[in-house]
Amino acid sequence: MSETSASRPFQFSLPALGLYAFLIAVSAAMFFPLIWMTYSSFKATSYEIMLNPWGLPKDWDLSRIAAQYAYTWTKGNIGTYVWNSVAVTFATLIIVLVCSSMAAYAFSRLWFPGRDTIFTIFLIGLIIPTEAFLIPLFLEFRELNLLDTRWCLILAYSGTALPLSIYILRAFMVNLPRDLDESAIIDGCTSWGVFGRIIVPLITPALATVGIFTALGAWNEFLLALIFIESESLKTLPLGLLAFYGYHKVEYHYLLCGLTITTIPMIAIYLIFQRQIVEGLTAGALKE
Amino acid sequence: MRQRTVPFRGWVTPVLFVLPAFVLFAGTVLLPTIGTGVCSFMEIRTGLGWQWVGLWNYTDALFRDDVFLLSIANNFGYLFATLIVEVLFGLVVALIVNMRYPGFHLFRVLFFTPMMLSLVVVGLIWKFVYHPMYGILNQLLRSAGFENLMWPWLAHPYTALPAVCVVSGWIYAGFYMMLFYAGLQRIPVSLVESARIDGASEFQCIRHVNIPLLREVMAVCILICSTGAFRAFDLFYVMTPDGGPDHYSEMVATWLVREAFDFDHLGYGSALAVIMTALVFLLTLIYQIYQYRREVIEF
Repeated sequence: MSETSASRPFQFSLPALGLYAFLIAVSAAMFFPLIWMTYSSFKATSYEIMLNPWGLPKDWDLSRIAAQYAYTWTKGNIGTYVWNSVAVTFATLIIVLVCSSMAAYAFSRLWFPGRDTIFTIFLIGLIIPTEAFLIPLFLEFRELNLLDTRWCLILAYSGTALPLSIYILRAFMVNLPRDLDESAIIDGCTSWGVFGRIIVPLITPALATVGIFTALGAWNEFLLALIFIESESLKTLPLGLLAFYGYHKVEYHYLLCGLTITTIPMIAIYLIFQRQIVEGLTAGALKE
Repeated sequence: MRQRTVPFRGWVTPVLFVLPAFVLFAGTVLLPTIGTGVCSFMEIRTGLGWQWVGLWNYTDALFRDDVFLLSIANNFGYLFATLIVEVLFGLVVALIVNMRYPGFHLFRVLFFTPMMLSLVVVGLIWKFVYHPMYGILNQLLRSAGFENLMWPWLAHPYTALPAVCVVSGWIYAGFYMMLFYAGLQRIPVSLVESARIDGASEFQCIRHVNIPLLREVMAVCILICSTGAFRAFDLFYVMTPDGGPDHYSEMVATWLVREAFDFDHLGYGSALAVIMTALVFLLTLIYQIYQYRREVIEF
C-alpha cells in the first residue's frame, strides 16, 4: 500500500472550507466528552460538577488534584485493576505469540495428515461469538476449579485470539520466499531450527500486528471477565471500573478521575503508535 | 493444497507444532461451542444437577419468552441503526478524508481514537453525557433555551436504544472509515485521473468511480457490522443495566447472560446462545454466497 500520496495544495474554495468545517465540527463533538471528562476530574467535589457541569474547575490546586488521583489509584483499587490487566494481557500475549506462530509455521510449511481440515476448523473459529461458548466454558472452568483465577482469563483470551492470529501469520508466511529455509535445511537445520532461526526473525512485522490486537483485546475484554471473576483483588480494568462506578455512584469527581486515568494513557499510546495500531485493529477485516 | 516438496519426513514434528494451539483452541472455544449445543437440550441448575428436556428450551424461547423476542427485534433495530451511524457515516468521512486537503490525514488519525478504549469506559463516560440532571447534553439544551427538550435519554423507552446506538457510532465510525480509506487507497490513481480528464467533476468521480469500486469493502463492512450487532453486550450492560426501561434496550446477549447467570437457567441460556450463533452464521453464509456469486458471474 503506497502510504499517503502527498496531500494536494490548498485552494481556497467554498466546498473545501465546508469540508474543513464539517470535519472540525465532527471531531469537536467527538472529543468533547473526553475533554470534559478530563477537566471535570480536576474539580474538588461532585457538588461542583453537579452545580455547573460545563464550567471549568474553580481552582487548579495541583496538590489537591494529585491527592484526588492518588486516592482513586490506591483506595479506589484502580492500581490493583491495572496490575491485573497487565498480568493477564502479558501472559495472553506470550501464549498467543508462541502458539500461533508455531501453528502457522506448520500450516504453511509442513505437512501432516488432516492439516487442511484442522486449519479450516481454526477458520470457523473466526466467526464464533463469545456468547456461543460462554456457558459450557464457565461449567468447564468450574469443574477444573479455575473459576475466579487469572488462569481462566488467560486461557480463554488466548483461545479466542488464536484463530485470527494463526490466519494472519500463515498468510504472511505463505508469501515468504522458501529459499532461505531450504538452504538452512540443506545445511542440516531441523524444522525447529528453521522455525526459530529463519522464520521468527522474518515474521516480526506480522507478530507486531498480532500482538497489538491480542493485547488490546485482552486489555479491554469484559464479558468473560464479568462471568469468571468475582474477587475484588483479581478484577481486570473494565470489570474493576464498573465496580468502582458502583461504589462511588455519587462521587463524580473520583469517578471521573478513574475514567481519566484509564483513558488518557490509551490515547497517548495510540497517538505514538497510531500506524501500527490501525494496522493491527483492521488486520482481521482487510485480510478477508 | 499439499506441497509438492515436503522437506521433512514424518508428521510427528508438524503435529507438535500445531498441538499447543489446537489444545488451547479446542479446550476454550471449540468443545465449549459444541457443548452449548448439548446444553441447550438440558435443564441445568447449580447444585441440583441436570436433566434432558428435549426441545423444551427452544419452544420456551420462541413461543413463551416475550423478552427474548423483543430482544431479537431490538437487535435488528440496533443492526440497522449501526449500519447508518457506523458504516454509512464511516464511508462519508472516508470519502471526505480521501480528498487530501492539507491536514486531513490528522482527522483520519483522530477519528480512530475511540477504538482504543474499552467499551465499559466508553459506556461510563457516555452515562455522564446522558445523565438526566447533570448530563452535559441536557445542560447544553437548557443553556440553549430548549428546557422542554431535556430528556431522560437512557431511562425512557423511546430513546434508550437510539442513545446507545449513537455511542456505538461514536466508537466504530472511525473503524469503518479506516477500512473504506484502505479500500480507496487501492483504487489506481490513473482511474480517477482519466475520469477527471474526461471532464467528470469531483462529485461525479466519487459517485461513478470510487463508490462502485468500494463494493467489496462495503460487503465486508456490512458483514462485520451486522455480526457485531448480534454480539453486542458490553455497551448495553453498562449503559442500560437490566435491559433498560421495560427491556426496551435488551439485547439477545444481555438477556442470555441474565437468564444463564442471574436466574441460573444455564440450559435455557445455551438455547438462546444457539439461536444467536445461528443468526451470526446465517449472516456470514449470506455474505459467502454473495462473494461466490460475484466471483462466478464477474470472472
